[in-house]
Amino acid sequence: MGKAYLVLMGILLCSKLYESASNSLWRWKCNQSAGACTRVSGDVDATLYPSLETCRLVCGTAGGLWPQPTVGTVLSDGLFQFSLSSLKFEFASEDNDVTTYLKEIADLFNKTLSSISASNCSNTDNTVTISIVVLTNNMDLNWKTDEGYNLEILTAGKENSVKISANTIFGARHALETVSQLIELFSNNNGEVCHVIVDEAKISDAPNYNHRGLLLDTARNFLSISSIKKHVDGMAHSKLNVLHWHITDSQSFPLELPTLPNMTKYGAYSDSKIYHPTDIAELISYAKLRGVRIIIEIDAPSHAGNGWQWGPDAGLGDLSVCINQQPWRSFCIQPPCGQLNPVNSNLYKVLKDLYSDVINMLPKGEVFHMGGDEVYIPCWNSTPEIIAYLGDKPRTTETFLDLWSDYQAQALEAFDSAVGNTNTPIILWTSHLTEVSVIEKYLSKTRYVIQTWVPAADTLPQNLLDLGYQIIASTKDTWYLDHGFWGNTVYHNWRVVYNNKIPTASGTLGGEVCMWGELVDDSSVESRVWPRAAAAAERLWSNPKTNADQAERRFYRHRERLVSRGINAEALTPRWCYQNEGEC
Amino acid sequence: MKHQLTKYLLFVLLLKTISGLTGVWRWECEEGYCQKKEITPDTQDTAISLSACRLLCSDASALWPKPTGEIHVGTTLVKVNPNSISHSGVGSEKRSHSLIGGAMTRFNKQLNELRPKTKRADGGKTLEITYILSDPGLTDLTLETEEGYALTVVETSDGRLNATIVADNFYGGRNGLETLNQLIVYDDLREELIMPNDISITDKPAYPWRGLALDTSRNYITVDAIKNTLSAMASSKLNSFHWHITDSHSFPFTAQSLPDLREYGAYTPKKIYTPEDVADIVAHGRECGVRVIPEFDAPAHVGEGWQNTDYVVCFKAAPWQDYCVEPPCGQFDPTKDGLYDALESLYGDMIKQFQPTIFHMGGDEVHFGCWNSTASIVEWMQNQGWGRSEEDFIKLWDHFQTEALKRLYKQTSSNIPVILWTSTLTEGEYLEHLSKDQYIIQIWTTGSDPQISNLLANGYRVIISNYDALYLDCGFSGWVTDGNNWCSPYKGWQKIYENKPATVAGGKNDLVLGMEAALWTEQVDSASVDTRLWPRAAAMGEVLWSEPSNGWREAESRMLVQRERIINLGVNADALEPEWCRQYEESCPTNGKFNK
Repeated sequence: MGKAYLVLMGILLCSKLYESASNSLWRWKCNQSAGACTRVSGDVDATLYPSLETCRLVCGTAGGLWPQPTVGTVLSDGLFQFSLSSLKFEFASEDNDVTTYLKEIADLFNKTLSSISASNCSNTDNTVTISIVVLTNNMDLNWKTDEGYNLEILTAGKENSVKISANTIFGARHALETVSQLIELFSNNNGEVCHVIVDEAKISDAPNYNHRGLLLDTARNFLSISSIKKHVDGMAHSKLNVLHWHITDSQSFPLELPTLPNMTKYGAYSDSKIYHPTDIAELISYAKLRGVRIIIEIDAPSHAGNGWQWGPDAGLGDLSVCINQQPWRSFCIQPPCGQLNPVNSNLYKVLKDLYSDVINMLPKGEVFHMGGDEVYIPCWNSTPEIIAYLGDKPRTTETFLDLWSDYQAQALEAFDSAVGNTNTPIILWTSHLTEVSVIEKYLSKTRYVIQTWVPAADTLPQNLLDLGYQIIASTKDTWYLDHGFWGNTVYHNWRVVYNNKIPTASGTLGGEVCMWGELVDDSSVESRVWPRAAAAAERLWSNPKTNADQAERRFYRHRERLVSRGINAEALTPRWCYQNEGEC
Repeated sequence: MKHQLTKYLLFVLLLKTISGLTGVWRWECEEGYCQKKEITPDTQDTAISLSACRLLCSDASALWPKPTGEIHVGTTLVKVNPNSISHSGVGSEKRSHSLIGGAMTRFNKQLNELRPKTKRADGGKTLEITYILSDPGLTDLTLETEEGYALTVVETSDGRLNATIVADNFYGGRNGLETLNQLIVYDDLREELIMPNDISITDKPAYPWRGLALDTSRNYITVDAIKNTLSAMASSKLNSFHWHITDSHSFPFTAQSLPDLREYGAYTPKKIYTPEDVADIVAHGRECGVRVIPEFDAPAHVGEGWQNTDYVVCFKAAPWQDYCVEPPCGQFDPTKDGLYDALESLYGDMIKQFQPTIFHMGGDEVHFGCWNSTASIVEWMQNQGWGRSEEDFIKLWDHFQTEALKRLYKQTSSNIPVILWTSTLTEGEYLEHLSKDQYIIQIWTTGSDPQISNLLANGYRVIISNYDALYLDCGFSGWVTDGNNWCSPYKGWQKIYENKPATVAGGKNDLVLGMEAALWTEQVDSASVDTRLWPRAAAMGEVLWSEPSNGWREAESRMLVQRERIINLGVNADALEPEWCRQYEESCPTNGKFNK
């Protein structure tokens, strides 16, 4: 416990913290051994905190941090009061990309802190200096990026110093995120609202999984760029690092492609529901600044319909078949139907253009998601052109799986030719092609990463790992955030999300929670995703042995944090339970 | 209407021909459903937008709730100038003059919001609205108030649109205006507001109580969110906002006579409702055709706020399961004489602030274990010569209810109707304690609970809030257990639409005042309140206004439009399906007309 703490406590002892009587009723007391903050009324006492938030900062081993740091966390229970105007950053002044990035994240940090409104803080004697050292110039965020960091906070007199060191800018960004969670508002005895930072801390932290994702589906219903940015914000605050953008599907094709303008002309719900390449570029840099990479999925050969209608008029034949065909139950798993036409050689030329356009929007070397789920054989099996192509071959499941894998091979070739190399990782969903008995015949384990979407009890993820495939886990019965609103599905509450443990073998790159878009759009997507995605974030970052019950207080705090940072995260409990920890 | 569809395409020619068309889609009405089609050179001139198609494509047009009388919507669509709308008929000397003014302000704002900000060019026909009200002095919405109206629109020879709304009073007039509003749409092909120039509709509701209950104690809901809720209620002709303003968790209401209640009871000094806030909400409610009814739930569901009194027992008792149904516990001690003075003051403050025509006294979930564990209460009961059986605790509860009602009546000029939730007290053997002339019973059991038929057989008027269809909080995370909440699963709008009063009442619907959807806020606050309430509450709106014999499938196309309307009010209504299904009506449902 540093001197500043004693100084502060002196203030607490001297006079009432709040001037207005309405503010003065409640205080919080930290029971360190239980890690619990208790609301008490009564006289001012040096051991009491003026708000739950300040108590939560320092109470318990991980205070109010989310996700909890993995290597080591030591927090003092003292607070250092300061004005935001007296907070300074220090980092190497070299004129390079790293410095530019650090400047930008420092600005963002200030913006985040000033969004929780301090007022009239006149305490300018106390200073906070955040110094950041980044050891490499690596600017790429991928599965190999070292996102770890070390953080130390010390206080000497009126000077508080925060020292951050990380191997990459992304580690430094996470460290700043952590620092922002060690700062709260504090109403002092002069009727001012200042900030306080934990006066001494030592944190060493690195994620358990390198792929910590949220899937957004913008094809069933369109999501505006500003809505997507909100999700990126929520991800940054929770240290999630992959936005998996399921950008198209059979319902709509909102991604504008410079070479293929017909895709949006036919496929967008309306002129205003289109992502222009400039939007994508802006979003990618917005996300990078927040430690998030964007992986684009163009799902194919199934889940491709609206947007693909223009082939015949352009003299290219049917690029997709069964488009909007009815009754849909005979041709696909949900309306509207549509599946690419694997026997039309023009398709692959179009795919190459499509991939080129998408690759041009992405950072060099970024992985690509080709979808590949839910191919519905009866669609192909009812299409005369495809039946004719198969000729004498028996139209068995195996024949169609072969046709599908031919499609996949040619699509990959188109991609490779567009990108100019043959080693860009491609992600595919689990499907008939990824069944343990056939996957090695169809899909190379050095090219494909498999995203599993089976229930928790299914052994497929482990089986694929055993075969040597890398996987991303999207456990269907815990991490599908659309469940609970259709059919017999059950809403997966945050505890269920949190408690979902995924394989730890090194082939597991990580996991993703999935927000399928049939029943959400801009109006409700934020509250459907948040704060539940943050529950998965701690699972993926910290992978604690403990369950949700032990995380409850920090999680309740994090939900409030998300709301105060502008994200409409759903309420979890009556506020009474938040204010009276452990009593519900 | 259906038979005029062939004429419709000819009339549409009167619309401006589209030039410089960038989109490739138009809509066509087929068998009562709008279908997306590609624009071709021959269809270029007659192409219409989805919103125009929906207006003309079926009997009930795009109206929600469906009018119950005559519906004639002409097929000539004309451009309206939203900057040239006037109204007359209710002079400033009439008491409802300012209410009409408020309703018109909402009307104009909604029309403006229909148009994208960059597409708000002038031009179009003038719209003149005339109100003919028999009782323009009426400003209170009671159970007897006539809410029906007749709306006609004609185009004059000099090209102005004359809308006439005939109604008994402001509330009917407002409903007519709401209907008119729904017949003006934004045509995104021509980028203008359009409406039919020939309309004749008569309409009135099937039930007088079309309600929504909102809890602001488990979590605080901002004044803005409540006002948004009232706006969305107006758009679905819901008329009763039941405000469960306090509970054991927090006391955000400002009782001027008992300031400690809020001082101690509010979650934070900001999470409160001042008398000005209440006045603002009540006034906004009136403009929206909504009565705002306060509930002071007692004798259970009290706790925070009462710390400085000795009127509450079992407060924060642990383990809470032994003393109440959810934490924190708290229940009034009916044996304290001072309690009734405090209640009278509180009721007085509520009556002053809300000016309600009906009052809700709560009365649910009294936990006898709490009273039974309080020595002074047990002693008091012994002094009355009572035992400690259920019957004896019912007597104690009756004592509370009788005394509390007396105090309420002292504060109201007349004996206003009082609502109570179903509870042990409203069960068969104890029902005699409650007079059916004084009390309306709000049912929150399942729709098939025998208690309902018992209440109806005994002549009680009821409001139905059966939790198995009308509790909008169901289906989400539990907060006192690991699983999901007690009334899971989530109630989809289809379930709500199929929950008909006549079915629940077993045919005795003459005693059914209506229904009320309820949102308990254990897992909701202002961040997601819109999404939980809307558009599902709108589904119930049509059930109560129109008493439709049809199922949800027949209502779906209009329901999807209503959801967009609520979004246009700035309310974050949940999405119901992929947008594709709205653009190709009846193509998604199993066995849909176009899914064959």
